[in-house]
Amino acid sequence: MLAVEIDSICKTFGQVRAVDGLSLSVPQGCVYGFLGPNGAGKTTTIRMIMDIIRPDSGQIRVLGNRAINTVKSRIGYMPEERGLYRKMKVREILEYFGALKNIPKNQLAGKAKDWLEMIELSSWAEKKVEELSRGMHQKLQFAVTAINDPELLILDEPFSGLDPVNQEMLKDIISQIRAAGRTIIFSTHMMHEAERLCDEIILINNGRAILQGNLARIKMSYQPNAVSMEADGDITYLNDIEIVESIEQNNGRADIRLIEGADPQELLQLLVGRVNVKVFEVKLPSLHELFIEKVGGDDAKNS
Amino acid sequence: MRRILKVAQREYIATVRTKAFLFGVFVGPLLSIGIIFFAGKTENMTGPKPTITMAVTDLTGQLSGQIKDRISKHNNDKPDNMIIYRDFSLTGSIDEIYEEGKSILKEGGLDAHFVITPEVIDGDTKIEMYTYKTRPAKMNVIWKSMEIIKDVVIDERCKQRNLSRRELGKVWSVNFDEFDTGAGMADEQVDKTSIVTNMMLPFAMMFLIYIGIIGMGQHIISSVIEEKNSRIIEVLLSAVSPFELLSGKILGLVAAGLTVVGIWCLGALAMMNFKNISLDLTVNFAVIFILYYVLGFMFFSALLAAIGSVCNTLKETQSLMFPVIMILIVPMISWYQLSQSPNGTYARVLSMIPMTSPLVMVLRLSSTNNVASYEVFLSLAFLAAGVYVAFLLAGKIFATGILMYGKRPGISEVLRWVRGK
Repeated sequence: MLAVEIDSICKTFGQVRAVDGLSLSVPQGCVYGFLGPNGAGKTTTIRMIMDIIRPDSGQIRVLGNRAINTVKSRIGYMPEERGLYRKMKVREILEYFGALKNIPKNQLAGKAKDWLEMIELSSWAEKKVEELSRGMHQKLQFAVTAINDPELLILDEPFSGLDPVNQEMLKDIISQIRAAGRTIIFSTHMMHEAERLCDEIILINNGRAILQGNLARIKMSYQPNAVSMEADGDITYLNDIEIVESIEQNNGRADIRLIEGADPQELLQLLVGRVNVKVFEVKLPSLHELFIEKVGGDDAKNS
Repeated sequence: MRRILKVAQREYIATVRTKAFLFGVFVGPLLSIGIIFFAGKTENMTGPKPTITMAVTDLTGQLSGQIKDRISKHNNDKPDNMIIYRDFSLTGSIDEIYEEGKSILKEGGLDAHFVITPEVIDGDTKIEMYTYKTRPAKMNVIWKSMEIIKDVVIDERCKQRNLSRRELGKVWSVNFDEFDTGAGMADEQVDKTSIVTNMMLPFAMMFLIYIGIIGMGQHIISSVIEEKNSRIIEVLLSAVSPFELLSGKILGLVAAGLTVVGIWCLGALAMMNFKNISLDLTVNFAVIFILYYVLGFMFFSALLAAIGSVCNTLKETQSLMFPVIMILIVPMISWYQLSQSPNGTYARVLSMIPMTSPLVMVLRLSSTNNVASYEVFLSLAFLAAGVYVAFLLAGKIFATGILMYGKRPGISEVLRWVRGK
């Protein structure tokens, strides 16, 4: 069963086509990334999945159901704009949402306690939400989202506003959740996060999908076109080689861009024998670069 | 259903915990009791009243001396209530005296000028009293001087007719000793406080409902706005449906409101037992009161929640709240007429319309025992139907409005939400 199935949904706000014929499928048990620049339509799509707004046309199925109301207790949703009851205590708010999500009464206190430990807020259990710093608030929000151990976790920009240490913590938790067989959808415009976590991605721009599928396969379908190397000796002769597009030297490290379709092995052969190669790394295009190339190209096409 | 109760529980605890709530429960009634209590006490604590200057043109020739004496005595007894007697020499003609009197009055040298003709003692010709634009503060003391003059005239009339004043007193004074056998309190004797309390009772009952609706109504609106602004609404809606959220909030607040009323009633009962005041209330009435309170409150909360859901700030809600409050004020303003004619058309019509019925029917029932039972049933039925409709409409408006930010939707768009979707 697919965790989420979206079939040609459209949504227009006034003059703006926020989402334009978007289709995607999220398999169970994977980490699925919604990528795209600001204003691409990621949050709108997520809101339509959560039935917070309705699409003008098209269909959405969540956990096999068209009516999300019946499966709400199996989902955890964290909206982009964080908000919790300011005057409630940390522990209380975890227990409240846990109860709303149908966690049985006798398990509530235990689960709340476990989650507080996981996000390292145990000593703040009896403090009011308004006393928390922004990062703590966000971690708490995540715990509130996941406390009922949902089959499907939908997170809108979960990493924004977190410092690196907390980002790592969140990533670890997400990995654990995934290892337990749950499905996670998250949106972000920070590509390095997506790269490390996602199994599948969809790249959205202007309400349309411009790239989607299994991340590893996508990256492999793009030819490796860069090399990062270190060598003893002068490599400036490489500038005259046809397959080399550009060389950037930093402290002994040389980042070399090859022209489209070039084979990095050719470059290696040109080096061996002439210089003493210490490090030779074939680089697949990063998601960041793919993003820029694709979005840039798409924008150029549409302007 | 379980989720609705959970939301209600949270709403109840969050409401009851606030300082504003505790303030409302205790300070409100304390204030009203305090006002009533002190109103009685301050009678004697007010301090000196303004003095007045009065003059008497005594055409009988026999009264002015006595009047002057009595006034001196009065001034000795009540130095706070000074009356200054100004001599008016009988120079010139009567007309000149009148003219002079009027001009001194106008200047302010006199507050009252009395003219007593001999016919006053013989028959019941009136004493002429001249004033010039009397200020309200002086009225009391002027009445006092009128009393003094009246006393002197009665004495003179008795003297002239050879009647004993004391004998006349025995004939004239008839007093009542009141006992209420239905009071049920140890002391059957009715005291003045009890009567006043019973008269104010209808208003007090209606006021309780009014305060409950307004107070908790404010709360639900600000609660809705807060959830909208803090974006917690999206998290909530990922777990519960808009209807469950709306119902839960209203239920929680109804419970909080009943708690307040309950505390007040307990307090009133305690006071009644302690001070021996009897009130005309029955269990029947209490049940009906609670029904109207709960239904009336649900009706208005649904309305106000819907209003709150389409606004983004408390300020925006005020212009929409205005008509709602106006509807509640109408019975409040005309409470006295309604309580005096509880079975008149005005009262009967208002007690049928769901918006005003909670207030007016309770007022009617506490004003008289003669309200037809069928009218109460009908009114409750209308109100229940009104609550049902209000919830339906509010549910639809709430569900859409709660997630809309930015420009407030116009009436036509809101109507579309109600009809479509």
